[in-house]
Amino acid sequence: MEEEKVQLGEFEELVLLITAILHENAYGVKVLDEIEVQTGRKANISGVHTALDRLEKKGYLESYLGGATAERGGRRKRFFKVTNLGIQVLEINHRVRNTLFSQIPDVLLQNK
Amino acid sequence: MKATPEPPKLALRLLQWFCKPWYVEVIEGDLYELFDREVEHSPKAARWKFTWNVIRFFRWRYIKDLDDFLPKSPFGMFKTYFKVSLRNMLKNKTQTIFNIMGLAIGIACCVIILTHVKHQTSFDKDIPQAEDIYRVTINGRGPYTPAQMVKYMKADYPEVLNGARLGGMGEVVIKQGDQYIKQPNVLMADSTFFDLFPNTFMRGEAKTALNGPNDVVLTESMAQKYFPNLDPIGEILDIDGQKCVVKAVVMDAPRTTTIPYQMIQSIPWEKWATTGNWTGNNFFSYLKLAPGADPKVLESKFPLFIEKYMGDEILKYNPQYSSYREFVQDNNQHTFVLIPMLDIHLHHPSLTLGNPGNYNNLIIFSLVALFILLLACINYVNMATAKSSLRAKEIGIRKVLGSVKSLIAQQFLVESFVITGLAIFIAVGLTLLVLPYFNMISQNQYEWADILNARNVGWYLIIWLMVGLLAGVYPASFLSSFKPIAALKGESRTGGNQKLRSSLVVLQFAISMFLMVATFIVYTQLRHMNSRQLGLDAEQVFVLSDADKLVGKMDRFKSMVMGNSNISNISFTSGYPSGFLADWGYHTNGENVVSVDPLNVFADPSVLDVWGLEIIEGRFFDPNMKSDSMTIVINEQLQEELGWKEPIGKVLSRGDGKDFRVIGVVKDFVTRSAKNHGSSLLIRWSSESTPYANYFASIKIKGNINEALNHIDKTWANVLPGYPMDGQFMDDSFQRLYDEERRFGKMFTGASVLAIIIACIGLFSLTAFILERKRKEIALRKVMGARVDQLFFGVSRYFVKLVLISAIVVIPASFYVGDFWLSSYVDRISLSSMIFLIPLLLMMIISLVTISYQTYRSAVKNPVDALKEE
Repeated sequence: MEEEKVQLGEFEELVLLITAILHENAYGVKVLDEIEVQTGRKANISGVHTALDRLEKKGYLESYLGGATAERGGRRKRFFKVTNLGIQVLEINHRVRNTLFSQIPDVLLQNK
Repeated sequence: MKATPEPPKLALRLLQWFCKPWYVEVIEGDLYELFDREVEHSPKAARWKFTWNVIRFFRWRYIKDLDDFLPKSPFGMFKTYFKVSLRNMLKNKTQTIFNIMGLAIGIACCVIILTHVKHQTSFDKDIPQAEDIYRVTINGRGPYTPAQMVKYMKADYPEVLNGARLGGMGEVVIKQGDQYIKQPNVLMADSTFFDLFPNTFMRGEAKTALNGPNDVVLTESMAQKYFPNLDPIGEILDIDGQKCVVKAVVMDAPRTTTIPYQMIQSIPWEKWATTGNWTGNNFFSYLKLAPGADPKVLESKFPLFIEKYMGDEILKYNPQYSSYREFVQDNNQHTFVLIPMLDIHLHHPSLTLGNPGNYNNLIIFSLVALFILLLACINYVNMATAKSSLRAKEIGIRKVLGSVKSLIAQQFLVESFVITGLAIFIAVGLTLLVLPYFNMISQNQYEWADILNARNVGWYLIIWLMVGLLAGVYPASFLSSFKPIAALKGESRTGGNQKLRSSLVVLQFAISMFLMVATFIVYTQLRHMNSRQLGLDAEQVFVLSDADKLVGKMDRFKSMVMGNSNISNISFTSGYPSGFLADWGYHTNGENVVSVDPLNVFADPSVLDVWGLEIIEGRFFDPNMKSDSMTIVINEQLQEELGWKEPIGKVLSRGDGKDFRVIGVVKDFVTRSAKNHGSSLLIRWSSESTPYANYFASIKIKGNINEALNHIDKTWANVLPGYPMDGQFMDDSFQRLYDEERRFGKMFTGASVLAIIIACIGLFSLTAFILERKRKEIALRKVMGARVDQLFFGVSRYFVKLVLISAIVVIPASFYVGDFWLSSYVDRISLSSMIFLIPLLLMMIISLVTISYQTYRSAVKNPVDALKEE
């Protein structure tokens, strides 16, 4: 995977990271909650769904349906899992950020 | 146990309705979870939030598409067809652009003509009960009728509900302060006018609008012109010296009317208008019949009507008959014919008070537009079948995978519909772009709203369906009939039916060439008419209108005008060649009375010199002989009609006791357009005091034209200060007789250029295809030693042959049609072989130039490139 091929929106990246953190336990509401817990940001459930679907289409996530429970009006959950491609994308983004950040002149960081 | 609170049912139903089924469960689950969490704090807020969240899911991604709504429809399949079509179009970009542009040009022609046809066929349709309104004519042709006719028809026949006489519709001069303003389209009408032809009254009312002898009704724009920002009611308007009172203001007449008035004067109460002469025809008469009354029944009563009221007066002018019955028995037709108002604009152009329509031209241009569209469709069919080899594998594989013929045919139909749809959008754009030019040529005022309206959208849909089918059906049935194994092995009938394609190309050439020949014939005839031998000297003669305003000052004007060295002579007349000349009835005296209706020209003695006429027998008027005032000069044709061997000294009578002695014969000269036969004519002596005589002044110019015109202008302003001068050269006036032919020629030029462009587009892409298939052949020939010119010749031969075949088809057809068109002209060209040869050569050159670029390019290519690849 090359760096310039990564196509990821800001909110999408956040959702991808959260899904990775939740590992095997990520579904709509959970991701929504976790975003608020981790960042304090109040997202909308339809926005989360859209982002998850987009990421799946790009091949960074894959999904499967869980079993039915008595909760949620008996509806099944759709769980998301980060694919290898998704992991690569996260790594690339992480690396790029770090490389860029490390080049900021110290004087700027000290005098903030 | 307390029941678990449930989320709002309506929101759930909404979600299930719009959301794709696959997503519904998961989304519902998440919404339930959020709801359950919040319902404990506040059930109401939770319900609201649930609904709000449902609405937030109303996103493109989650909304059902047509597949989900109509799971059993073939829509999914059409989506695929659509995709495949777009991919194919993108793959062959040049061909696609050519196809779309060709169709767009053809459709644009149709859109313009449709707009034109719609406009031309909607004349007078907005008049209430227009189908019961009839125009009374004499023998179905003569537009003018006697003054008392309407009055007595209304009185004698119960089925005539109402009637109105109209008059004038000419130009008047309005005096405001010391300003004289020429005002066209001034109608005179009876007070019943608005009963037959209602209009919206901005000021005043219909009942009192035209009751008095000098009432005038203005249209809105005229009220604005003469009384800006004033209340015009009760104001005085000086029309041709009459003080008229403005009684009402109405809306401007619509564009689609045969009575395009700008002002209406009441018909005066003088003798000529109230009791009038039964043989003097001065009024346009309209009758409104009872709904459903048969005009034929009414017409059958007219002969008695004429005998009762007009018999005596007709006999006065035809003294050779002793009774009216005898006059009728001698095949003298004189009856009133009713023409439906709705037929006037297109079918009786001589009866309209506005710009006449032309039914034949409407049909011709509709056909031409259809032909051009047909050309474009042929291009599409040709290219679609020619390039079929490119699609053979696709079709083969589809068939192997289980597709049937009809499904593949659908694919190709969808393609033609997609292309036609795009072409329509471009066509509408093109139409809006060329609309100003079309307006200029055809003298119309079409606007964007005439092209883009709800009615036309319906037409666009019809065009879309028709053209899509016309272009798509053959390729679809041809391509879908490929045998799958043969197609996959590459031995299918690729390239299509060569014969069919050749004949379609022949048809294209034929249509283009036909239009070229037609254009050529129109222009040759125009040139012929412009260079006619007139028998008079029209070039240096300047004709002034309104010369009757000079009466009383004529001598002064004359001597002042002649005072300039650039002016050689001046003559006052009642009419002039190429302008309107009235025909008057005369008859011989004594036994064997002969009645004739020659054109009647009043002129003073100098007209012989000014118009450049030629006396072939006798003499012309002598200004020094007082006795010449009761003499006439006749032309050759009148002499022939009267059968006089020795005309000098013979006498013609007007039927009112006045006799005129013939003193000379003038050589025939042209007075009307080339559509008319030469006419018998006589010239009557006139002087300043002769009535009906001095409407025009012909001025003969020698030397510097500009200085002469300048001088005339100054003299006019000096003698008639403030009164606008109006004049034209006689040869320009002759040219103006052919304005319609000139427009016709321009429209045909446009049509042939478009047809040729489309045919060239087709030829260009067809050549590309043929050369593509012959690539290896050309390369091999070249390796074997063929020269470039030999190769070029080999390819061009095919097209030259097609041009020649189409010429064989076209020449007889265009000869026939051209001859028919020319048959309405008395003075016409004969169709020589040049008229057909020149377009044929032109077509040949155009087609060779079109194919030469690509042929040359492939002929000079390195043969190795074509041969090495496998």
